[in-house]
Amino acid sequence: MRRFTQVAVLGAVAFAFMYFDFPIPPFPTFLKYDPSEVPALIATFALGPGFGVAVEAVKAVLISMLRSGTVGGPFGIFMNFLAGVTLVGVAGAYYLIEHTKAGAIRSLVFGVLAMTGVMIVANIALTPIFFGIPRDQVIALVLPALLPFNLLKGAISSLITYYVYKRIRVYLYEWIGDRTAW
Amino acid sequence: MELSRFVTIGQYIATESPVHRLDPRTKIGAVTLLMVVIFLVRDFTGYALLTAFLFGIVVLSRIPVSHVLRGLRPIVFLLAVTLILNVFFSGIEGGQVLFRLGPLVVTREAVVRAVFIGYRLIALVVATSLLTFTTSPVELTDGIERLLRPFRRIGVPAHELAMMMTIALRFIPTLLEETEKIIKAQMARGAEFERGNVFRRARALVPVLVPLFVSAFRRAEELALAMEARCYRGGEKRTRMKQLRFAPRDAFAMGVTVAASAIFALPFETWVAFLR
Repeated sequence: MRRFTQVAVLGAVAFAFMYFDFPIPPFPTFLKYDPSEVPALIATFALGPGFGVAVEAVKAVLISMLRSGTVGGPFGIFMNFLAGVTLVGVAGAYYLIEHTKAGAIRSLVFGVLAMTGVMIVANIALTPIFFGIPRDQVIALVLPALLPFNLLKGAISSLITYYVYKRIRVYLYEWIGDRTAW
Repeated sequence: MELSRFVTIGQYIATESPVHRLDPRTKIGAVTLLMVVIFLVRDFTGYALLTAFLFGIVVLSRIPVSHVLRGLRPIVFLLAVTLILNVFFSGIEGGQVLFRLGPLVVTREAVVRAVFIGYRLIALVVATSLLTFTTSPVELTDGIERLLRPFRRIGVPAHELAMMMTIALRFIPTLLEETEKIIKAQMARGAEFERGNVFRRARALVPVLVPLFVSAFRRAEELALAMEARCYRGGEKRTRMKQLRFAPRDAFAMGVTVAASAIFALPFETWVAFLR
C-alpha cells in the first residue's frame, strides 16, 4: 500500500522533472537533458529495481497522455522509456547484489554503460525505420553524438541521484525502514 | 521561473463532439491501428487519403485546426534535421540529379523520400495527439485499465497501474506548485539555476530536489494512510461511478477506421486490380 502510493507520487515527480530540461551545449536542442531519471533511480535504490521500472512506466504513460508532442511523438517516448528502464533496471539489479555505498556507485556506472549500449543499438536498429535516415549515417553518428550524449546524460543523472540520495536517506529510513544501506 | 503559469498540463480540449463521446477503448484501438497503418502506407495516394481521413476526424471532433498545427511545433526542429539528412545523405545511388552543392548531390528520388518520411512523422504525431485532444486523462486511464485486464493472468497489474496513474495525475499540479515554491525559496537564499556549465547546473538542482523528494514521500505516506483508513484493498470488487460501455457508435467508428486503414495500406494498383 505504501509502496503503491510512493511509486505513484515518484512517477508524478519524474514527470514534473521533465520541465527542468536544459540543452547540453555541443548537441542540438532536441537532445536535451532532463533529470526525470532521478526519481526512478531513487526508487530503485530505496525500494528495489521493480519499483524503479514501475516509476519509469508511470512516467512514460503520463508523458504520452499529457505532452506527447514535446518529445517527438511515440518514438521519443519509447526511446526514453527504453533508456530509463535499462538504466534503472541494471543499476537496481546490481545494487541488490552489492548492497554497499561502493556498490551503489558501481551500479550507477554499470547502469549508465548499459543504457548507452542499449541506446546505441536501439538507434541503429530503429532510427532508419522511423526517420528514414540510412543506417550507415546513424552508425556514423554513434561516436560524435550518441555515445557522448548518453554517457553525459547518465553521468549527470547519476551525480544528482548520488547527492540527493545521500541527503534524503535519513528521511527514507523513517518511511521505508527496512532496506536502506548507505 | 513561474512554472505553473507557463506550463499547460495536458492537451485535452473539453468540448462536446461525436469523437469525444466515443469509448476511450475504441479511440486507443483506432489510434494504434492508424499508427501501424502510417508505417504501411507506401504511396502518395495512400497519404493523401490518410490526410483527408485525419482532417475529417479533426473537423468532426470540433478541435480548431490551428490547435492541431500548434501541437506540431515541438517537432519542427526534429523534422528539419530529418529532412536535411534525408535529402543530402539518402544513400540512394543514381537517380535524377536536381542540383549539386559541393560534394553533395541531391537527387529527385531523395527529395521524394524525404518528403515521404517527413510527412509520416507529422501524421504519426497528429494521430496520437488526436487521442489526447479528445480524451481526458482520466478516461484514458480507465480505458487502459480495461484493455490491460485480459493480461492480468500473465501478471500485468492492470488495476494497480491505473490507480498509480490516477494518483500521479492528481499530484502533478501540486508538485509543480511546490517545485515553484522551493525554487523561489532557494533563489531568495541566493541560488542560481540558469548559469554555469552543465555540471554546475545539475548540481544547482540538488537543493531543489531534496526538499521535493522529502515532501513527495511525505505525501505518499499520508495518502497511503488515508487510503488504508478508507479500507482500500485493490481492484477486487471495486465499483465505479462511470462504467465504460460500448455503444453502437463505437462499432461504427472502429468499422470506419478498419475499412479506411485497409484502403490506405494497400497500394492503389492493388485496389484497381481487385475491383476488376
